[in-house]
Amino acid sequence: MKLKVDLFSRWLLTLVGLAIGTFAMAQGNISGTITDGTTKEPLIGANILVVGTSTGTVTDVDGSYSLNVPSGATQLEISYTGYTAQTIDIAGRRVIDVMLDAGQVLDEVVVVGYGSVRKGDATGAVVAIGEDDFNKGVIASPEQLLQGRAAGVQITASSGEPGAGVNIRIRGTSSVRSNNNPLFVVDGVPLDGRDDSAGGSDFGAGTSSARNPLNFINPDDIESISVLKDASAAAIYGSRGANGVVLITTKRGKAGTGNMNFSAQTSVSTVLNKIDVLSAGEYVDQAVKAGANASVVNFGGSTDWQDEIFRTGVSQNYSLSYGGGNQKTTYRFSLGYLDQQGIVETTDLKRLNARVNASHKMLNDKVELAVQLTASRLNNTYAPITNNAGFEGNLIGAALQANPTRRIFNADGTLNQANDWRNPVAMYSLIDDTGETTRVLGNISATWHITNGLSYKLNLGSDNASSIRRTGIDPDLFFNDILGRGRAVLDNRYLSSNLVEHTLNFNKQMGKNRLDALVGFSYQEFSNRGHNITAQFFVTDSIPLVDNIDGVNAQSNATAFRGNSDRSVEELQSYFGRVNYNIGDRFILTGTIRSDGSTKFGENNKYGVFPSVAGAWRLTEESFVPDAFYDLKLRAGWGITGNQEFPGNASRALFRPNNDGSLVLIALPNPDIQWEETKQFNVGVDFGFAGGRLLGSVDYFNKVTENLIFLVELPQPGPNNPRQFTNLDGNVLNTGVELSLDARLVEGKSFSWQSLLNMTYVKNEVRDLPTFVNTGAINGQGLSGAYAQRIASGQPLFAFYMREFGGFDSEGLGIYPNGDALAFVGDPLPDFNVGFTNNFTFGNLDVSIFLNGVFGFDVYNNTANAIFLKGNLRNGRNVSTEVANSLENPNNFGEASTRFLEKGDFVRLQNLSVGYTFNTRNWKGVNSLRLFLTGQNLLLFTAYTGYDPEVNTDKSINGIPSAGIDYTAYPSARTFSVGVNVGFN
Amino acid sequence: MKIVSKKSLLLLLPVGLLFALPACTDLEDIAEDAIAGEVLGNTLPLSPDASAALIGVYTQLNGLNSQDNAFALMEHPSDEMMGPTRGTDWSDFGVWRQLHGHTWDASHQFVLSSWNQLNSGVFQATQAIASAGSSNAQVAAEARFLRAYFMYHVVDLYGQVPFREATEGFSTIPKVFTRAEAVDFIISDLTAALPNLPSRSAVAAGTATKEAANALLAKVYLNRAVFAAANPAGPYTFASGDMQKVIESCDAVINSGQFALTEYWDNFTANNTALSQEMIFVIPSETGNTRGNVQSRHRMTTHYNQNPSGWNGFTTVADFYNKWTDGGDVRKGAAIPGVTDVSGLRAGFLVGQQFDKDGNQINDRGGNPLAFTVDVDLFYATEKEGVRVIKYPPDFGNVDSPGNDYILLRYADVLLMKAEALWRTGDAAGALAIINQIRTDRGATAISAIAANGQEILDERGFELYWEGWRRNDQIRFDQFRKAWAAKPESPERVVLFPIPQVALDNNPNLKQNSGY
Repeated sequence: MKLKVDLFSRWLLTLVGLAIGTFAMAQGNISGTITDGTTKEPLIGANILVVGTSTGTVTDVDGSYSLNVPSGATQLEISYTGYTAQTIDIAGRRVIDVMLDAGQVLDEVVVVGYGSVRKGDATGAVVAIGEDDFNKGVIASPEQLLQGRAAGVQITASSGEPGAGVNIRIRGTSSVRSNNNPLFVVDGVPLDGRDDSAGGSDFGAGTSSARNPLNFINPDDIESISVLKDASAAAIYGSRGANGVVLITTKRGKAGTGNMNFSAQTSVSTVLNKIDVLSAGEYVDQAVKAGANASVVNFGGSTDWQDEIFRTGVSQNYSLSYGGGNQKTTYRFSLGYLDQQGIVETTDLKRLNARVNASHKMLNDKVELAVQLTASRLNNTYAPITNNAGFEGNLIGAALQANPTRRIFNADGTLNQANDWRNPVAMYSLIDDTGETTRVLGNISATWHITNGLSYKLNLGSDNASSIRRTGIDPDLFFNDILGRGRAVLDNRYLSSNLVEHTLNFNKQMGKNRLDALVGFSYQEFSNRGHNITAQFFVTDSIPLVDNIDGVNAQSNATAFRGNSDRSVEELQSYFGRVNYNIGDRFILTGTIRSDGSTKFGENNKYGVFPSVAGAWRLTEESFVPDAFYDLKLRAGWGITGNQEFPGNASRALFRPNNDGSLVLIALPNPDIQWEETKQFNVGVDFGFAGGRLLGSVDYFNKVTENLIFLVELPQPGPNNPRQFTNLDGNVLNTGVELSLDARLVEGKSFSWQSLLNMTYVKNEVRDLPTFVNTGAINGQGLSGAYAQRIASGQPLFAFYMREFGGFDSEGLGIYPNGDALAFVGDPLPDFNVGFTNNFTFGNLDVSIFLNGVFGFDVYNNTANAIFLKGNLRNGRNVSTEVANSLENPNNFGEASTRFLEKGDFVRLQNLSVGYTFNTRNWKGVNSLRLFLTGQNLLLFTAYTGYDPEVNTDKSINGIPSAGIDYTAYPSARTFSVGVNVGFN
Repeated sequence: MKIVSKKSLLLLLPVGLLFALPACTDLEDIAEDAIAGEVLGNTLPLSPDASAALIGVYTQLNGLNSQDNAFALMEHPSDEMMGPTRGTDWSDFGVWRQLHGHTWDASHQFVLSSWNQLNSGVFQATQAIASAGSSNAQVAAEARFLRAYFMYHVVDLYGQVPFREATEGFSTIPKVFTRAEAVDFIISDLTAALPNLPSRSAVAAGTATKEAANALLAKVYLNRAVFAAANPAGPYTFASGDMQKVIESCDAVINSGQFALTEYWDNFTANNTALSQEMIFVIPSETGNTRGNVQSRHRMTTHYNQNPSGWNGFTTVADFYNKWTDGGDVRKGAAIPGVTDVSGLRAGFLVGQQFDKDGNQINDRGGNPLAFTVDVDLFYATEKEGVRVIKYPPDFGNVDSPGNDYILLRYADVLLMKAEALWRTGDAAGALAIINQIRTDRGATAISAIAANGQEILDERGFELYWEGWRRNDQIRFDQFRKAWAAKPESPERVVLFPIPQVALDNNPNLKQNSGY
């Protein structure tokens, strides 16, 4: 505490001292017009800045400006997005008109942690994607905007459910049991990576994962997304940077005339693929062949159960925004509404959100206040599609295996149900499962331009989410423990974080060299609470169960109510700094350091230090590089980042009371517990030819993650399920190469063609781990205790580990050449990703085609393992046509084996968009109008036999995550959208 | 100094405060939803409430009435229980086939889970003992009994017993008792506990008592020859001193006057707590409460289409079933009021065509008559193969949370242990008298002699105690565990002990893998 006060007072004195020097300058006025050098059109909203000060303004609708400049000022800097900035000597002039030339890519500004950098000056591996390159169509969350578009960034939705959780792997997977998702930072506020809503509770069909916590952000509000891939870029986020950092910048108002934008989009979605199971006509014969008695398995109906659960989803998306401002104040308001209907009955995601971004300059432009605030409300509707249903299946599993001769309804109109099967229609109509999440994220910042080159910024952020999930299961549903009892589950989650950040920025031009420096302090507190209650033995079902949770017979049932609650509070306190030194635009050096202290870290390791260094050499500045090079830059960087995504209280011994009245030790302390640590080395080259028409970069990276956080099996005797987090020896290595190319192949007024290509190769290996751990639980009949993955040295993470299947013998029984011996047989982490975009314009018409390919990975088809066995046919259930026609003996068992391990490689026509932009120059009131048609997930080329190889059902065991397992997951959709985008002024 | 700079000072003040305030955090890790124990150096904190800690040890017993884990290790490798794979059902990663076929290895799931389950019982008991200290002698004594009970099974199944003192932290690698040392430890625990344990007549059967301690002492002494043998696979030398201890301990139970043989099936039905006088130590079940739930005991064996619907799993083995030649023996099967008249389900062995309560034939899922066969294939059984065994009849009022107490120690076992000890010390007549006392009570004809290998004693233990968790232990003691029977060839010596789980070997270098693994 004493230290902090000292530090504060010293800083205060410095600030005051600097402030005094600032206000002693006289002023003069300069005015002029800024125009496009080619078209001579005025440029609206161009920036004019007095060099070496924070004094500046923007041009109005006529491209003109007027500015008071301090008497000592010598130069103006004129800049405009997409144009090359110019620095003009004032030289006593009162009127300065400037023509700007359409800019060069290297001058674009890229957002990095706690600031921004000119693309040409970047030393780290940063990829920035702007609105133009985002994926189009029905987009529920920000990550989907990026999917496939950036080298080194692999994005996999866990299923096709609207708003499903998303896995993002930046440069591979480096952690065994900590979260592998990157840190998300929205307008400078780092988000808590935890789920902000409850997953689905198990009422007989397994548990389900929560939807993506980032669904609260309206993708239409996003201006750009920067991905910090290497340690030199991410180290400024210290113990949260190891998985990379995704910086989201939302749209701001621009000075000038107010501009209103409205967009509307309607979409229809249908299931991309159905699985070929036996139809009613084929079923009875095949079941009898497998040994069933026709009179028992033929119910006389004809139902395609997949058709019964799938539907055409109709989605709507509207956005309305208004932005504008003047030299002092800019603002932007927006409203968004999304209603995304899933392709499975009842599933839905509705989002209503509002955002305000505003900034204001005051005290003679010395102080700039900014506020960014978004509030959103999500209404989710869920179907019983879970991760770990037993053999009876979740909704998808039940539909695949339901006997097609069964009817949906009995003659009397009631749902046809019995103990020995699950009627999918009953499942979705008798389960009422909805959730509501309200989330408000905001920050206020004040920047004080203290003196020439020195500024101080205070950033206060707050993120609050509260959610409730209400699940009511009608007592008429034929599930064990449900029938006649009913069940209602209310599950609340509250997530809250508060941020206080102070940064000092300093920059100084020293001859041809330039210094940019940053120091800062950050404090963030995270709290997380949850409670849930489950009620059963309902007296009546005439009131919705979730609205009548006390309407149960608790008198005669000890288990009428069950509940639990949890709470955690964590704090993170950090000091950080960064220095950029540009030597005559030839050499650029960057050094960063962050020290993070967390309540989660053990007392012996309270603070971690995360340094990085990087350098770039702009070879185009050297005489020996031929002029053919538009750009040639070498980059190299090294740094340490951390991952602190493990539960709190790992440093404490914990006793928890149980409902039997006991109070026993449940967790053991580890005073040494610390972050996982990733050392990353990166070298890259940026190049450009033909005046910037061909741009590209190649990066090689080597990431070694150490101090892996594990929940150890302690030497017995120990507590029940002994829980102790520890940092293990051993490491995870990710090495890879990334390539991205951007070629503007044809550039003409009537036709243009741009191709963008990104490719990533990643190799993953676990090394020197002193132990192993199994994961990837396999579910289904006869599969208790089965698992499919083992994390062990010498293998990729989540390597598939199972029996090897050698086909069927002459009797149709499985051959396992190595018996029950398990072997490493593949892995779910793709070796190679490629994204290929082609953009065409034909006059006012634009076309964009995006293909995505992922290669070199395996998918375990747990769906087939559980359901598609000949014996299930004999038992009165349905199987795939392929299995029905196979040589398998109905007596054969389907042990988890390579029989169900498939190549996942695929190529997908992910996005095809056609737009027409009207020429609105002479229109009154309307300044832009665009009509568009978008297709998503149009074609999928793969040998995988399930719905979609891009899938990741959560099959974790004891908190060890799995990867690449498909178990009756929500299938992916093919979506067509039509929309309009119109701007008014 | 100009006025403006005063303004800026004013501005700085709140800014500065914001800067200073949050920096006060010392980042203490606070447990919000649990009680954090104090840790000094490499120590473990003790539960602040010894009685609450003791409840936790009792709760740890609950795992024993699941159909898997320790119960599976105690039964499936024996000749009385088998989990055949039935087409799409019960393959379960091979765990059941490996147990019955004696082909398990150190990676077997139940080998690890049982190791953790039983040793954790030892750990929690040790903590409760230390937490009770000298201030609560009965809590400490009950915890000692429970520790002995868990440790007995570790000794029996694994042969080596890791041990951690109450406050010894986890950076201390636990020492390991040899099998013989662990037996001494168990005996000393039980001996120390006895004076402070209540008598069975004073408490419910779910509480540790003097009689439970004596019954467990008898088990320990009876098996000491196995536990102390130079080669775990035998030969075994039964010391007469140990056998005398068995007899003394059994007599302490018998002479307490609190127990008597009860109508056989009353020991297992839903209200066995009230009906039986044989309950020495049980996991109590209360109707409507989930503790000590025995429903797995019937569901694990009955067919889907029987009532209550089962999981169509475990069966007995032809060789074992074929031993039952005495038609009068009530233990082989019986109609149970409140069960058979409600569902058609009988207690005991279910063989041949099955019927519902009205006498209608039950069919399998494919629509064919459900007739259980005596022979069963371990790898490729059909739905109908195998004789099913109902030991704990369902509680039809509360199928999901039945009232049957789950038996851990029973009076008839004490009688049979005494008989065996008598026979092993040359008193065959005394042994016969006890065996025939039981046989007569159960409606079976008396036997006249015991063979030199004690076959009749082992058989009688099978008839009386089948599917109660003792068969593996008994077969090893009579050196009949490794012999061949249907679906299992003769086994190598190593199988008399399970391997130490690989994870346990990795994290405790004091453990050595058992011979042959």
